[in-house]
Amino acid sequence: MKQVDVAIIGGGPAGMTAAIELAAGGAKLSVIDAYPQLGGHYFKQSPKELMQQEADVTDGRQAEYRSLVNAVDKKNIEILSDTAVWSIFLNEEGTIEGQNNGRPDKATGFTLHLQGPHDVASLQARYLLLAPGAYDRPMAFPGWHLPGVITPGGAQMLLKGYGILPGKRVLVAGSGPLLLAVGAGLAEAGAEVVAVLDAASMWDGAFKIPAVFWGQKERVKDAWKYWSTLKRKQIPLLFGHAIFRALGEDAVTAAVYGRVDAQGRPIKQSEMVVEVDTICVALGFLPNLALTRHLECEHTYNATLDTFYPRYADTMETTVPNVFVAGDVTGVGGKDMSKLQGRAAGLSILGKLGYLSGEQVKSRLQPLQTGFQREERFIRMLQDRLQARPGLFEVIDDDTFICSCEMVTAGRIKAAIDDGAQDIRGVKLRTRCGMGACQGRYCESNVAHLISQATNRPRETVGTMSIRPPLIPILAGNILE
Amino acid sequence: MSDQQNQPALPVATRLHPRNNAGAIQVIINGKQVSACRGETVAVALLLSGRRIFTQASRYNLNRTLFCGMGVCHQCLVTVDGVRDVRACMTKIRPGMKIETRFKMEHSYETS
Ligand SMILES: Cc1cc2nc3c(=O)[nH]c(=O)nc-3n(C[C@H](O)[C@H](O)[C@H](O)COP(=O)(O)OP(=O)(O)OC[C@H]3O[C@@H](n4cnc5c(N)ncnc54)[C@H](O)[C@@H]3O)c2cc1C
Ligand code: FES
Repeated sequence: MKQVDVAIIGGGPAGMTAAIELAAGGAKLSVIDAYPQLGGHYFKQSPKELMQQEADVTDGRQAEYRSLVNAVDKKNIEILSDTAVWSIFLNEEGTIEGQNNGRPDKATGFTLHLQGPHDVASLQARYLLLAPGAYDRPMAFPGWHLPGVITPGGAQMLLKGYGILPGKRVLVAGSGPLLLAVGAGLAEAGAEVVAVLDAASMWDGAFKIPAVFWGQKERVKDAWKYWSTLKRKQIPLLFGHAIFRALGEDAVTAAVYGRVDAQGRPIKQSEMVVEVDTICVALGFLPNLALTRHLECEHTYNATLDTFYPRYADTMETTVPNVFVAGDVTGVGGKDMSKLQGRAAGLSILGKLGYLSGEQVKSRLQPLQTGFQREERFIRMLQDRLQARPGLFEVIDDDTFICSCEMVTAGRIKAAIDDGAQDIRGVKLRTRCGMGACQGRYCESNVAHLISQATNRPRETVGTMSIRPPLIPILAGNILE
Repeated sequence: MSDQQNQPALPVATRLHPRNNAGAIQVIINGKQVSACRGETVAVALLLSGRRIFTQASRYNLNRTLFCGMGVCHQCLVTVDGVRDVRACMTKIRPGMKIETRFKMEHSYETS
């Protein structure tokens, strides 16, 4: 079996930056990513076969991407694209050989199982860096299960990755900065975007911390570009608004939306109906915890954002020794935060491998501090905009699907709670909620909210879904091997 | 039983750029040849062929299709070359690939 010093899972900004740092320091590594090309969600690339023309060199994001890819190429880093990690096992003691500062060294390490077009079906690594990013946080409302309701991330994937316009008349709703990007992107591509709705009020968070935009030239430029597109196309950008319902038989034909108060509670009198064939909706992001949960890392709960994150030290190491994290999985901090964390994790692992001394690691981590502080200021502002608004759940009625995989409605979840279910486990046992193909990735946040509201208990005490291998559906043959 | 006649008349996804003919390949969707483009995913081929619904669970008439577009929600599962429950959004098409949607059919994890 192939052995490496470090396996990096996720080739987005965090994974790529860590790979470059590690390779420069002398480590032997593999980067595994489920997409056809490196870049992750920020640098979303088309598959090679579909590339339309040479990348636009005047585009700052493309230029940054090229420089990262060139660095990866130059360092001869092994990239396993189109490849997903479907399980990881802790090895028995001393099964994997490596070098520690030139000295032969045996370590415990990990065995990774992969599914992809390469011959490599498994891989052994002494250290793991998990950089699997985040995904759209679903918002549940009556009709959200209808075809035509997609996540903004899904819309962006079709648009930027495959050159596909997912619909003709589109409503964009939810909260967070991605909505602006997706609304503008769809409009530029020719869709009729009827409105972009953000549940946050215009000023939520923005000016609480005066220096928040300091050093955020790129972000300000991007936001300005998206905002100008909406202006030019006369697309209303409505703050303090949310979607209440999606209408349609077989698929979406219309959306009902209106104003919400600061808590997200719908203001019924403000209801409007628009005909649309597509609704892009999400409430910001959820960190992709499949791998950290699978490895049983400890997680902590962030009440502002109503999400769990893996706990990690300044070195980016999790509570499971030799497992590191970086990027959006640690708290959806954006591209620059992801790169900083990627570097920090890379340096720490080089220290563990003996390629750098403890002193060297420390002195190289130090200069990253200003960047970390700058990004944290901005993220705190974003958190205010993205904060959980419990009122948004008020639109859910008894027929609203909460778990689409097992087709469990809010009504059945309420019945389970009436029947004595106190937590996610109890609801799961009674309804099968969360036991379907997605393993609860898409219902957990909503079920947890319903339970904590009905039982009057804090979210962090009602439990979580458990993730079990295979983390993705895999061909039976792969398991048998 | 499981073909396009049963699909409601829905607006379809559209390609933004003309297709590059050099990359044209054929796949078989519910028994019919459909032309698609190398590099595209099963989900993209299905959407472009006018299928907005990938599976329909008969209980509740719940229609499933692409939702997250990035491999997380598992709402896009279809049968590919006889293998059930393959994520359409994360699977690249290959020439001659047999793709089956399960319109008007029970979903596997519903019965098992
Ligand atoms: C849908 C979406 C759209 C976004 N759009 C924007 C935007 O327009 N502008 C902006 O400024 N920011 C955007 N962001 C935020 C920005 O993309 C992130 O801050 C940044 O990309 C995070 O980098 P990362 O390296 O942590 O992870 P990502 O860039 O999210 O990359 C994670 C990678 O891990 C891979 N992966 C995950 N699990 C596995 C596994 N089990 N096996 C193999 N590979 C796996 C994925 O394929 C992916 O390539 C977006 C985020 C998301 C989720
Ligand atoms: S659309 Fe979500 S997994 Fe394919």
